[in-house]
Amino acid sequence: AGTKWDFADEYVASLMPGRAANFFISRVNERFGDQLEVVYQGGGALGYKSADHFDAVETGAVQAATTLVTQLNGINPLFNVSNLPFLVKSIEESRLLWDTASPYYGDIFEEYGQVLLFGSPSPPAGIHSKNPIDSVEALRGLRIRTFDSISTRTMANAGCAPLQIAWTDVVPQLSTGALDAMLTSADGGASISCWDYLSNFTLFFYSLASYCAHVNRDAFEALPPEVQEGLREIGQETVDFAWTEVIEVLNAGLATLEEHGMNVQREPNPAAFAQLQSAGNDARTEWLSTTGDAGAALLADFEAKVG
Amino acid sequence: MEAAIAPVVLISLIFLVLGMGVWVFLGLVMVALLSLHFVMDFSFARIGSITSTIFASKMVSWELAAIPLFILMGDIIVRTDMSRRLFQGISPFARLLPGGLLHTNVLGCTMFAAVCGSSPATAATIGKITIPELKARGYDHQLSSGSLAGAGTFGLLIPPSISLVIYGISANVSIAKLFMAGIVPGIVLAIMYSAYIAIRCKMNPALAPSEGARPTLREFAQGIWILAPMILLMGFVLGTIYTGIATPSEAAAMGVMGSILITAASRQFSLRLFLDALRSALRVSAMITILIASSAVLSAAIAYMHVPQTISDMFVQMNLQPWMLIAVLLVFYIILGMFIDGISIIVMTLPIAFPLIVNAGFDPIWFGVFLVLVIEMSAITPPVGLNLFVLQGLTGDSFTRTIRAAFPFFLLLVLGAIIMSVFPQIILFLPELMSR
Amino acid sequence: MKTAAKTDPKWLHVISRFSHGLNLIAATFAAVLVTVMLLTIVLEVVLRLFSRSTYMADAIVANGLSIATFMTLAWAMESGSMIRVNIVQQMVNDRIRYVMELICTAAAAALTGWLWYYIYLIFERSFNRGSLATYMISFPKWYLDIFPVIGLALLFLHICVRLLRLIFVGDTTERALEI
Ligand code: NA
Ligand code: NA
Repeated sequence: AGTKWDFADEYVASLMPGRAANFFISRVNERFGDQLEVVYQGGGALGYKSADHFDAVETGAVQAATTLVTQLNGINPLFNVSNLPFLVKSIEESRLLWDTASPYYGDIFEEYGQVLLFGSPSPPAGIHSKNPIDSVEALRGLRIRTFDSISTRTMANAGCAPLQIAWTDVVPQLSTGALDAMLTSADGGASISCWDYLSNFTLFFYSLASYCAHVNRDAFEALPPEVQEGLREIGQETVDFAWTEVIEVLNAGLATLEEHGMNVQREPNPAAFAQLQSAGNDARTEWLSTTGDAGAALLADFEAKVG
Repeated sequence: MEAAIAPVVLISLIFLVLGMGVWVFLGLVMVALLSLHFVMDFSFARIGSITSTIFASKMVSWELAAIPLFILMGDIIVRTDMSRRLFQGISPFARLLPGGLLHTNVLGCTMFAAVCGSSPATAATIGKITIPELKARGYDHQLSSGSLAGAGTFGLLIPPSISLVIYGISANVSIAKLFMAGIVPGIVLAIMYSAYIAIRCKMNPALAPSEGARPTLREFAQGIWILAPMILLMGFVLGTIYTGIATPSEAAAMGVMGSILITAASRQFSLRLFLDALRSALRVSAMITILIASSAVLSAAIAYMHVPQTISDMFVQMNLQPWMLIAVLLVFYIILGMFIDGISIIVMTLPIAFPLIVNAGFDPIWFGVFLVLVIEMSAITPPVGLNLFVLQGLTGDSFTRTIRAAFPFFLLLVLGAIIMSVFPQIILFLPELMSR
Repeated sequence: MKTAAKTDPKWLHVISRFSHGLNLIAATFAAVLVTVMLLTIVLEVVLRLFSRSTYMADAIVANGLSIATFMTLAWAMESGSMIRVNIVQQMVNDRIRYVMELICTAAAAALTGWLWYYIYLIFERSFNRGSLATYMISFPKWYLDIFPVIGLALLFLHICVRLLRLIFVGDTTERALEI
């Protein structure tokens, strides 16, 4: 029998990082099943939260894991590039951002004894709300649930009243009307049946969170060279798969919301969008100041590619 | 091969280590360490990395913060005359039933579960009041402590419930509907418990002393009046949740403030009282939260040993009828629940059980409540049962005696689970009403 | 503990007092922290009525319980609040019970010491790397990682005191668990 790897995922298999991981794993087991067997451990089965994966993979506690990139910004702020508000305007641009940023990510993983194998995006975040976001006025005082410090700051800059609420508390807060809105992807909203409380979704491309799948370098290098080479190839296939799949997940999410009678706005109101975009500038300035030359180079690379 | 012996090794180790008398929170980690090392050949360094990471991050959570605060709320109430009030207020109503004040456990826990999401906290808060009172009045101790262990588990079933929230998120099911779905089964179980107590006391009047004549109308009115501050407090906590002022996690903090206010209003508040309550709440919440961390370590070890995958493969090969699937799951969960805490069970097994359940045509909302019902059993089954430990702490009884007291109520939970499998409408009719 | 202290040799008495004092300080810290958590949540709820926020509630509330638990561990164990299954110990004679208790305590000490080392490595890693905890106000992550290190060190020390007392005094009594 060959080597056995565990692949940790904090989230369940039906979400994007889990789909990508399972695509990767099935291809690996297909091609190298006799030399390497990878077991998907979703739903946080191994006890790790996403933020724990970096150290867990580095120390070899688990061989491989998929990690929300922005949770690594405590290690290196460069990872926060995928979290900059309104940097990418489409799924194609998000793929370009991944292609630009992943060599930078790869170097950081390398530095900490790990190998970056592939990435996957999650569908873009937009605003689920009671009333349509059809003007700058609609943002004023909007009690919106945000998910991290950058989104909180951006929404506050845009004139909203962002609230920090645990994800598990979102539904009760929506049901009592204490929340007017939340910033998350269409399928995120569908997962808590947000149509019970909210009737609008505006696709803002706030950001596309991305996930890195990384493996312990010692475990990787212990594999025969042809398997290592194969894993890198399958990693590349997985990236292609994930950025195609996410379009379907996005459309399916939007369709689910529409099926449940929500009003889905694919093109945001230009004035409201401009307001949010300028509110996000702070985050970009601050990110550039903490990441220095590397950050500036990454951003310049990306902007050159987008054209 | 490895996978086949893993469950056997695990179970033997748990019996050996916990049976020796090792503190449970250390014992669970020891079992994980030994089984990973000897079954899976993991190095101690790798196990150390696994264990330390889980210990350092498992308790970092918004939702868990409600635990010490709900306990603190109970501890403040206990240090006032509120305990006596609750007891006296429920008494005239309880006296209507055979078994009299023995019903205060069931009624008290049902009331308290409506503001508390955790089952050990419910048992601890109500039991602090009822256990010594019932003992002093000469009620049967076994029936009193058993009904407390059983009714304490309502904390999970009657909303708000941390377990239902976790299930809802893992299984993509509306949490609001799950909350609705938990109400009726909670009441049905409360009735079953009370009926059991009544029947036992009817058959053997020595279990409960006579409480004299039938309570008068005046006594009922008095009861409600005495209960008023308690009802006010519950109304305050529920009110902050249902008006959206506080989230369910935050409601615990509002409950503490509410209990301080009510204590102050009746001129019983003092800094000393608060500090005493805080001291006691700290100890209990440390005991509970560290157990959550160590059982997460054990759960991780089980996942590393690929036990869930093995069992899932087994199920797929057996190709069961839907009702047989539920029966097998029930037995499986009861066995798992003997050793592992409820929240870990949900998280660990859902990836296996959920697809099986959906394929067999069961309603995900129904299964969520069924699962929580089964998880409740785990709190009162030995050797690892949070409510048993809480109860043992309250009564000072031996562990054996505690288990024996809780056993009939475990059987009632099993009966309840079977009834709700045969009549799923008990669970489903309220949420279905809601979606119309 | 109170009864045992009288029979302790002087050196053990000193260690035991030292351990007890530290546990008390740590538990007091935890008590203050839980009070701060309580006030933070209440403040957050009140501010929210005015569509404002402390923007710190997540950092304080989420980490507060974990820190408070680690700081309470040793004190809670010292006061007998840590549950254990005592069926077998109740059934055997004093001599066997003593041996079982010795094995349990030694195993607990070994496990806690072992776990402490790996918890320390987490702290060391975030300290050396300068990793940040990223909330609205970012701060070095080791501010958080130091607490499990302190808490488990205190627990280890306390279990060692128990072990030494078992070996040199032969005392197996434990105060009743109170909740
Ligand atoms: Na509850
Ligand atoms: Na159990």
